[in-house]
Amino acid sequence: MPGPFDSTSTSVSVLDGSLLLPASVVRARAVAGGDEDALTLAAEAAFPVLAAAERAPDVLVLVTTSPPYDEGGSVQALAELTGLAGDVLALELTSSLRDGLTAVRLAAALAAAGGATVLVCAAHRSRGEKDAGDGAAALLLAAAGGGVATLRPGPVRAEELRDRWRLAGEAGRDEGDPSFVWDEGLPRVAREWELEGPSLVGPVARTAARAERALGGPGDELAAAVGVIGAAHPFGRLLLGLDRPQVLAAVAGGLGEALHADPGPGAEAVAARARAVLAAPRSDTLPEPIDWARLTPYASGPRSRRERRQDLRLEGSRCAGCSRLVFPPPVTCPHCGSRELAPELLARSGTVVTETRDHAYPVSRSTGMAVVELDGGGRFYGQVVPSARVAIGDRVRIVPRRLHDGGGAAQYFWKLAPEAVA
Amino acid sequence: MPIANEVAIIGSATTAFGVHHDRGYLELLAEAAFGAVDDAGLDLGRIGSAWLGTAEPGLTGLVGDSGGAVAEAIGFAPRPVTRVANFCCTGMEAVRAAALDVAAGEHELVLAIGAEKMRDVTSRGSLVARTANLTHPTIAKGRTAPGQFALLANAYMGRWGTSRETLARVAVKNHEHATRNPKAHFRSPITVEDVLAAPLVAEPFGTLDCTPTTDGAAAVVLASVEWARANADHYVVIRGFGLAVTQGYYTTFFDETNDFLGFRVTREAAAVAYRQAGITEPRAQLDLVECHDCFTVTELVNTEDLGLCGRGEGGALLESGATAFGGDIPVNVSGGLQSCGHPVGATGVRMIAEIGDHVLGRAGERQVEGARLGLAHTLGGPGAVSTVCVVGAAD
Repeated sequence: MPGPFDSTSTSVSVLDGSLLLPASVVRARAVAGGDEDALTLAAEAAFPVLAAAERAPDVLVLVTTSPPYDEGGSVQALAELTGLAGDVLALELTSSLRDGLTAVRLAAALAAAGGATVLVCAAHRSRGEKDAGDGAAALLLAAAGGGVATLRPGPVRAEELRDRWRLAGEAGRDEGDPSFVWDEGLPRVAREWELEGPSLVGPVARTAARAERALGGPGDELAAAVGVIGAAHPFGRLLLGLDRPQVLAAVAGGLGEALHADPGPGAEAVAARARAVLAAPRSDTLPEPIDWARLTPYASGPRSRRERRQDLRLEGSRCAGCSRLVFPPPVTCPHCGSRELAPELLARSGTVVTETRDHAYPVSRSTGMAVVELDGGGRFYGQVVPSARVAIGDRVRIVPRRLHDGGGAAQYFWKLAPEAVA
Repeated sequence: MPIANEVAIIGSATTAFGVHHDRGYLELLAEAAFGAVDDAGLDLGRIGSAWLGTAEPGLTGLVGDSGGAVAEAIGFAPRPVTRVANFCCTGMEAVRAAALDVAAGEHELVLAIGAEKMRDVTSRGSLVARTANLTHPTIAKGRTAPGQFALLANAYMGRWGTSRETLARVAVKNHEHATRNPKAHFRSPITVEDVLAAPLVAEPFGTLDCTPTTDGAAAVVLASVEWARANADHYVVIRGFGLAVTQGYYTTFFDETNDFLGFRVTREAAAVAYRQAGITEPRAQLDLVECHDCFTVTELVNTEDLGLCGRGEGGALLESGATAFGGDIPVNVSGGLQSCGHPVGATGVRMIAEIGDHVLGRAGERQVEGARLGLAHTLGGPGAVSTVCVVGAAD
């Protein structure tokens, strides 16, 4: 039954996309470190897409059911971490794992209306759900025509139906009776939509998998390998299968949305990158927990704002006098005394100059610290991500992490991680 | 007039360094101050002004965050007192400020006091926790003093092939030295095995590579050499005093010219002090050195930066025995920071008093025979500030 939303005029092109999974997969669940959250995962997913993009996107959308802030907004910090902060439209969709597909529909409308390019970052940091994993995916979308794939929004649904939910103020989730969820939840909606061979995503992984089998879907290799990565899961499945036609549907809590995807030139390469991420070797031990109990850090809202480029963008200064790149951005060049300093983003990769493992810093049992010569000049000195060890001469990446919650606000900064397996 | 060769140290005193659960900041300050004035053979009423070095009054409820602590502790009102602070060079800064006061002719007799009360809290709750919690919310997180010097240790061992055991032997030497210093915090000899087996602090350092967290105070009384010559029973002369400041608190470790094998700031401070003191061959001309051995590797790089040996030769100099008591250039015969501890404001003043005692021939069991010229060095930041003070016999 074609409706106003089921039309080729609301199609949108995928320019690029990337899948991001954390360093550990334990009992087929991807597990992020204690210093990772939906924002850091989303930012890391966005980095390769932004690095390859011809121009900065006009719209940024964060999609997650695990945002760091319940009120006050989370996406602005993602805008900073991704270098998009400023005059950018930034939205967040945080109600349901269906929301990624809703973001595609929004992007289609925005692209059709004004030619906007839209970066959608979906991420999940699980709060103990047994079938959930941690991860993120980013899609760069533009007006239909060209791109590596075309997405055509399908039917939508909103009706009262609780399969898995968390009441405001409650810590734990509630879940409906499995037979009720089977009879009235995602499987029913998918049947009613008469989708052919759909890839189904729902909050209860077992139910979604069974329904998908019943309707002749391809099977969810992502959920089998790392768990359901929340709102990022539909994108993850989309990217892994981008080189073939797909029908994707996500239905959670009576909110549903479907999507048709058709590959174009270049789809194979994007899908291959996503499959390489899924296939990359990962640790099978849980990340070292972070014990924050002894840290009560000084924090300041004015300082956090004033120094947001240093903290959140990893921005240094290039000296006009001596051409050196200096971080943190100085007031006066420490090398030549010039005050002609231009902001410049640091390279997020480099080589370890020296390092130590500190057992005195009052967080966890020990903290790796290293000094890194950055590839584009300048140096960074900071923490190594928990669980990782680095040695002098090692290649490392600079990754965004949640450093602490001093002053009751999430303080993001950069840490050092071993270079990704190629 | 300048400081060098014109300002004399006419009295000095140091409290026992250690954990003084029975005495507070003001009592330690008073013991050192009255002791120095007594040593100078003066009444307190003769002293014109005072300079107070205390680095971390935040550890003691802000007592010592202004010169008022001196008025309160020793009844000095209404004379001028200023508190100075410059990282771990704070104590030596108090002496330098007092020397400038004398050199300027503003006051005839000036007291410099360094005092620090660090152990009203546990050693882990002391500077480490303060640094972790109160410093910069992003740039400083993960930094500790041992961790920052450990970055040097690993770079140094990697670059020069220096062994972990050689680092440990700095601690072994300085703990042995402290057996002859009744005022040191630690006075028991240790072995290389003890150092290697100690609990880890920041790899490769264990607790015995690190200065302990310590209470203490020290003071000196300064006058012009001219005044001393006419009036003092005994005195020594400041022959050179260099202060260099090259970095901020957060910048040393981001500086791409930093090779992590030594500290430019020490080399700059030493160059000033050596020029003033006419020192061209430090190892030959100096009789002893008190340097900032906050961690074992620091003494090795200090001996290089102070020109006692070439770059990368600090380990060999140590292993040769030259820097041990009885060697040709004994380093830290007091036991150094390794064994005396490092009550930050007190340390530099203690070092200058130590050199003075040797030059006066009154250093007791640890006397370096015939000492006429010695050097005291502190390093702070780390790598941001350094002071080098050369103290010699009266002409």
